[in-house]
Amino acid sequence: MNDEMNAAPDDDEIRAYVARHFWPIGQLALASGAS
Amino acid sequence: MIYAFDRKGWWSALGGYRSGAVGRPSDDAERWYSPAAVWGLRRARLALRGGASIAEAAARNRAQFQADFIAALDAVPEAANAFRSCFGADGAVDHAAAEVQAGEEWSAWLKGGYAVCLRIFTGGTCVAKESLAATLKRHIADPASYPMDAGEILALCERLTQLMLPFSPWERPGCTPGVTIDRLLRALSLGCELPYSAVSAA
Repeated sequence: MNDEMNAAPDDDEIRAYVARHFWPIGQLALASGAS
Repeated sequence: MIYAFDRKGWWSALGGYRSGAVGRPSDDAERWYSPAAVWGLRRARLALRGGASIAEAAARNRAQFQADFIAALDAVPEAANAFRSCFGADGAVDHAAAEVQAGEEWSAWLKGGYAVCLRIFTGGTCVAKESLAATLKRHIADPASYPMDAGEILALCERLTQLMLPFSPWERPGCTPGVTIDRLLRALSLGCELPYSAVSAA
């Protein structure tokens, strides 16, 4: 693990991480088969 | 909901706003949810198809979690390292204590406590994650009193990695994957996990 990983993230870094690993409600509904 | 973004900034279920402000995201916030929840939604859909109400479907999900949790206490060899209170003096699972513990873990899930941790949240993954992490941390804290050889360490790290999300790059070093898997792989000179390489390349 390098030192960069301990640096405070900016908004774009947070958004990239969140968008990659978590879903908006529509995606959750689609994946679960909800109409 | 696990993350949200609004005019006040980023909110997370675990940390609140980065500024430390208390409160919930505004109504127009962008919101993200844990994909770990999708299997619970699928089970709920099956229950609704069978005539259950939404409340009944939710109760069945909780009951399923509790049953899986107690079964996993019996099945996961390392479970007593994380859930000592769920075992009697004879080493057998204390069902009354296990039900109480299952209720606490279910509550933690609903509050977002596992949503950044686990790929899928079940009684089995909950017990396994907590037990494997506790076992590795116990070894790291005092290798002399809780020795493990390199093969045992690698096997536990492999099992734990299968269960977990990568965490964010800035949180991983101080959270379970960083203080167990990454630390031990580094100590054994067995390479490292690179969960962010695809993000960096994008």
